[in-house]
Amino acid sequence: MKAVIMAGGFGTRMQPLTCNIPKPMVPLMNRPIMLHIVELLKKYGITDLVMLLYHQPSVIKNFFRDGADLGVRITYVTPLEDMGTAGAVKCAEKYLDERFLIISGDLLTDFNLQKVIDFHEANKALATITLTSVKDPLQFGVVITDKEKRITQFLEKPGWGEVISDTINTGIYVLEPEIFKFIPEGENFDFSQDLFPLLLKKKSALFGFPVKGYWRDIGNTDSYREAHHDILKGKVGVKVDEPRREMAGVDLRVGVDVRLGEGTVVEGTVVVGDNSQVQGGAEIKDSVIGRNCIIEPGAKLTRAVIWDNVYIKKSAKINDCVICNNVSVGAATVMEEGGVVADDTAIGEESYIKRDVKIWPRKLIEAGSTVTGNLIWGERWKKSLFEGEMIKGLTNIELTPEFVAKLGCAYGTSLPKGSHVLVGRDATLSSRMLKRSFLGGILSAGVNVRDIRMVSLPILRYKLRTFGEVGGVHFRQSLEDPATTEIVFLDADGLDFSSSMGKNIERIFYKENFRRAHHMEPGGITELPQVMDFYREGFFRGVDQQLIRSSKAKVVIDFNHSPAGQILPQILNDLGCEVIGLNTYLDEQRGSKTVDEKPNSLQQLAKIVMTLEARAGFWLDPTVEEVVLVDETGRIYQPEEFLSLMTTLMLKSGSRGAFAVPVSAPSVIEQIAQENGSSVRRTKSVDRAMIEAAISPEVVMAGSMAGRFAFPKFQAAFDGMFTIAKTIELSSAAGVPLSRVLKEVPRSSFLQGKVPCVWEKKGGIMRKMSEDSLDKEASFIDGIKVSFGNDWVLVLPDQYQPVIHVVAEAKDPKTAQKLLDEYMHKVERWKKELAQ
Amino acid sequence: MAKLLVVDDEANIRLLYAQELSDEGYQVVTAGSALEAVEKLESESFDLAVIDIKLKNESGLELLQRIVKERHTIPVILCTAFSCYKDDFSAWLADGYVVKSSDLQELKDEISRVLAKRQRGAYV
Repeated sequence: MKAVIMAGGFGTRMQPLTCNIPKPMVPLMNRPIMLHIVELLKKYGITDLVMLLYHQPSVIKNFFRDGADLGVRITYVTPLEDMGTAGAVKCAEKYLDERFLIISGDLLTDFNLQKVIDFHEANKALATITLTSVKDPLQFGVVITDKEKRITQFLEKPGWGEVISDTINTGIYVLEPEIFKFIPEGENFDFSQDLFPLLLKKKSALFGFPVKGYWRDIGNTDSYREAHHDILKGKVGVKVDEPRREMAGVDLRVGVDVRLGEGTVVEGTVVVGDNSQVQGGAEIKDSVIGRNCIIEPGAKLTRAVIWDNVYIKKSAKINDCVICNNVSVGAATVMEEGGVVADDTAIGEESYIKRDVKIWPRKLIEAGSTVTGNLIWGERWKKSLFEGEMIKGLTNIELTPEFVAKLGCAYGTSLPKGSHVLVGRDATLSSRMLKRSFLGGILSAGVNVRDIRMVSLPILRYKLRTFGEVGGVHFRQSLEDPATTEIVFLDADGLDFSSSMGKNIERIFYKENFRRAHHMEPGGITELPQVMDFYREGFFRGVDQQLIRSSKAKVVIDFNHSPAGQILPQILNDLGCEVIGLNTYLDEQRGSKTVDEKPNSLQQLAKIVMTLEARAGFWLDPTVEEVVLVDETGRIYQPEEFLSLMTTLMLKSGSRGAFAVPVSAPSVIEQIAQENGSSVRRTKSVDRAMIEAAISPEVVMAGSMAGRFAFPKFQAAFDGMFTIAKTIELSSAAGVPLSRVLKEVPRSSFLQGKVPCVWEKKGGIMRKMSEDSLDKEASFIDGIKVSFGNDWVLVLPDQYQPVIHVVAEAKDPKTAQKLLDEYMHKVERWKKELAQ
Repeated sequence: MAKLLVVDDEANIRLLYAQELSDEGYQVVTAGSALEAVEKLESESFDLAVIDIKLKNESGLELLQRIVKERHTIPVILCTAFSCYKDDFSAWLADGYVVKSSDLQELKDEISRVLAKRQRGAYV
């Protein structure tokens, strides 16, 4: 008698276990599931096998080959398309010229197949379906038979109301070759959906034979884990390759070249595959460990299923989880029950993988991470959600609607019940989608939302500095990567979130300690239609309208499809300016321009400024914070030149006070300010530090090294729209072209470089820099800045990138280059020293 | 000691606020009209102003506009019997908004919040 093993399924419900191998090859007690089926068939003398393959057939063929090693003869049949179960068997018709048995390749059973065959023969059946009773028949096909065991009715996956029996179809059939007359060729045809109902209709000899014994369809990861539990508890007998080792009170099976360290605690049934090491002090209970694995001391495995080449480091705790091939689990990592880690994944130390979390193949979980949701497509799970004031991630991959809704719950929980938050977004559809999800989360925590819809960040900040809201959130597309969404969090004063504020939300998010509002008390959404008018009013108050009007300036502005294009041209027109707007329209699908397009856009802008003989050109970045200035000659200003120019223009116009600039800004700013009775406040480079400095009443302007300016008389936050108006006003006050003003600015050579450096070495590099600076004049506001008279060099570790910045300024280009080279070499040398 | 300017057209309210806020440790100067407030703002420096919106024949919102324009470093709290002005965007220029109540705690809390916010600006 022959048997057909159905091994063509995709195993979609078994993902991520089946991401790299077909479902019948998933190991059960260190052997493919299908091997257990082959063993069962052999036990009943069925050695002539037809394997029906479809998905990843070569993996199965490479393992079983012709079957000679297993004492069976295998014929492979691989249909070219999905033909359904019966349709696929039809493809193997030429090999099935006698009575044959059909069985699935992903079953775990110890049924007595001989009894089924005998029944079939005794009843002269055309088809016999093997039946069994289960507690929960809902997910299977229920079968009803009469007294003679003839089938009278089928019910496919019934609801509880339809359940009239607990007897289900097990997927094991005995068939006569005549059955092929009922299966059409080349058509998708299913046994339970099409063939058996057809036989029933035609009143053919269709029987159902109930069998007692163990039967489990290994259809999903829970079922896979439970199948192991059943085997380890002895509920079903399967062959285990690893021989038993004598040990009192323990069922220990150990393969070849296995090392069990002294002091290893083993309890229950434990299987350890060939060449694996369990080091002393590890505790293993009711678990299966594959081949070539290392379990370090202190690791504790309970009901774990570990595949091959897995490295579990010290004190890791794994409870009822599946770890697939080539995975390393960091020291002291905790995995709660139901977890699955797929192939080729590295989990950093002290990570926490919460219950039922599934991690897809090739992931990197950073040390100290808490993983609360399934990690499917993104490459890494960050240990902290916040990067400074924002959370960013790949749209709909890392930042999914469900993730963002949870984030909204966490944010809402951190705020007082009944309070209001201001929420806005850029023009992109993805920002709108994620913002809507986020709002649901906030409302669920009983916090109200004032939705100002599509708005630029400076306008949102401007409203926030007034009363009424306890915080603000802005959704936007990333300039660096259009596939990434950035969620910017602002406090009640419109300032960027501090790290402690972010940590507070992260704590709530990871603990899922959400405040859920009573069903009568969720937050509400309102709109603030007057925000634009409010901003305009303030804008006009903040500039010298008379002066701008009288100058009748002509300017070119590249709006980069930002929301600023909706408001700034009108404001400037009202101030008597002639505005030539480029890329003013909003394109929801396209979103903003990317950073790669910037150089080209700037060149075009410069050309247009010269052609139209405009007074200036401005490139406004999509976040509406950063501006690049082009003067009337078409010269594109470097950020440090723009900063020096604006300081000069402010002083020329009579502004006196303090100028807040980052440590990395050129020292000529001090020189210009001091000559005019003003001062300079050096701040850290991060935006929040600069904006906090700008709140101080003495500060008249804050300027970053990235073309961002804040004028506290209007608002203490960076605002590209206001920067443009202010530049027009100040250049009007100066009464000379911008290029002439730049000529008056004392010049120095300013160079910047960066050295790649892994996170772990950044601290070491800064320690070396600090030792190196002991006998020099150094400041430590942000990084370490060493002065050599008027020249200086700054070594600054990047906050978010694995990079160390080196900045040098000197009177002449040669000295600046020498300083930059010297310190970049030093950093490189320190990196090597730290590696030793 | 922070110096506050309280602008209200009702003498008894001025008296009450001056008394209560002095007890809190503030130096309090009062004005009965917008005109008087402007005069005081021109002659003295203040850390914060508390302004009523309805001032006999004048508008507290206009006074607010003037302070924001001419002395934008002085934070303003609107203190009014009406909550409807919260939705008026000319009121948004204020740093705080308190609906008048016999319990002055909310006003006191708002004053300390706004002053703390101003103080934080002295960072660097």
